[in-house]
Amino acid sequence: MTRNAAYILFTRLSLAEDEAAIAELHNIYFYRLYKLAYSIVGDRGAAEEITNDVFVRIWERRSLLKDVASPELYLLKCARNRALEFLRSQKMAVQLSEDELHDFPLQWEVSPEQLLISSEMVRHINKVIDQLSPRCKLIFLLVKESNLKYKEVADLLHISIKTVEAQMSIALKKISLAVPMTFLHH
Amino acid sequence: MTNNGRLWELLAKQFDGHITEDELRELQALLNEQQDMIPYGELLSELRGLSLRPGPEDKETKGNSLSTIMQSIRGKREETAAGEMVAETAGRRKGFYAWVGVAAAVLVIGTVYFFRKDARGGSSPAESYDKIVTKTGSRTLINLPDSSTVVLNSACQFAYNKDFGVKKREMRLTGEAFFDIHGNPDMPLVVHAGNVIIRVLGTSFNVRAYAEDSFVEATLIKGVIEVSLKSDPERKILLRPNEKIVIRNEVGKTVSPADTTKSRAEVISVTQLAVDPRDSSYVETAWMKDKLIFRKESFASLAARMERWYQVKIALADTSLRTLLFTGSFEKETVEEAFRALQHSASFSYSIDGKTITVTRRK
Repeated sequence: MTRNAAYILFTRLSLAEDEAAIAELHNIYFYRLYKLAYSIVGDRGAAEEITNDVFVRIWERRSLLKDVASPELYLLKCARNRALEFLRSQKMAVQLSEDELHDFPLQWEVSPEQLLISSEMVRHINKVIDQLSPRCKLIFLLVKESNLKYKEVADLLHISIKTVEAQMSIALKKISLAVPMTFLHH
Repeated sequence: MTNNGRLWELLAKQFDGHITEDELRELQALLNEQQDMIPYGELLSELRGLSLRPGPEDKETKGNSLSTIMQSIRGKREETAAGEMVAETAGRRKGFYAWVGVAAAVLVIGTVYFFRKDARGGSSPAESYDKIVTKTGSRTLINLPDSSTVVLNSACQFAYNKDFGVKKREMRLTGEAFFDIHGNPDMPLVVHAGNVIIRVLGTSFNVRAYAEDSFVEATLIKGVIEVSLKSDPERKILLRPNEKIVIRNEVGKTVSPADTTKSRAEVISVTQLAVDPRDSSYVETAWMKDKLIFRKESFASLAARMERWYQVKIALADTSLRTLLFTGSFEKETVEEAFRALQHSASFSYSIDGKTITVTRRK
């Protein structure tokens, strides 16, 4: 669904100076790019600048967007590259290694059509997600929010597919087991 | 306990949506053995539907970010596009903001020609339409007042009611267009294309309805559309995402004798979209990406598309040529290169005389 949305918006941008399309793209992807940038650079101001830069560059190169096969992955890769460039300019380490990723907060909400999950349960889930390791949390965010395939996450974070698989199953297991059984039988 | 680890691995794969059929069977078998794990499987599928809620600080950052980006974009545009600003001012004077977008598109694409009826409102009758005609070899972006967008392919005639979005949303199309329609349950949008009526709530779809083609085709990318025939409005067909409906025109020029004997029930077909495996794009919307893609397409149909693509006339001198099937794509090829490529998969001769290409059977 969001993949199609990005595809449509990229197409609109490649056709004309469509300001509404860049605003919509920003609305859908700002948090994802911002969190990815933040987890790499660990600074709010820098993460914001990096994210802004991604959108301005997208605008400047809009005529080339029609050749982008996977718009969502393209945006995330732009954010990753800009974040690594920033670290390089600060003469800092430019590895995406486990202990160098920074932690960021994630919060989830209940949509009205969700019957099984109560707000009480969401509180439990939030707590567990926040206690995941930064890398585990980032992988979970990328799979959950951006619908990235494991191979794409692995590619983005310079890790193996096996690691993505293992981290995802750790995240899902921790989240599930933290929810008291009583919530599941209503 | 080893089974348990495997179970979580499979649940994770299911969550990711890339579980194979074999793994799904294995997962079901494991859940059968360990019934107390079933609620967790359900929990995870619910978790998929949860959405992210930003904190107040993040929300503020997002708002600031958008205004910074817009300022930066507009600053750059003012440096480069003086002509466009003239067009925008002209649009504003008329007090009709929708045309600002069209005016910009005209300047960007450069080859668009359009006319509109008298724009002074009030005196116009309720049924009047704003009309846009696109030349061959051009595409036009239209931003509508309800923030829907329509991208017109070349050689189109497109119109929408003057008070669009006020009381109703009606469009007429001859040609091909891609629609990204803003959802409004109180005011469905209706597209009239040939003998076909498409009702839309909020969705993205492609319509191909050139007068010279023998069919009308609608492809749905997102949302829901309802398709019916002018001649049979009671019969409604709901289209789901990634489905395509093809409806044969009643007065098609290229209906073969075999087709006319078919009953009415056979003129409508609904199929799943073919997705290009290389980049997961759709054949149906490839025209927006400057590509002409065809899969098992008859020479008759391909020739009609190539005429619009290359702005030429193509005459198939022998009727047996019409049914030859071709698969492939053209992007930057010249018309000559395209014909030479087609010769690799079928035997025919062609001659080019200015803008007219005559195709004959090979002697």
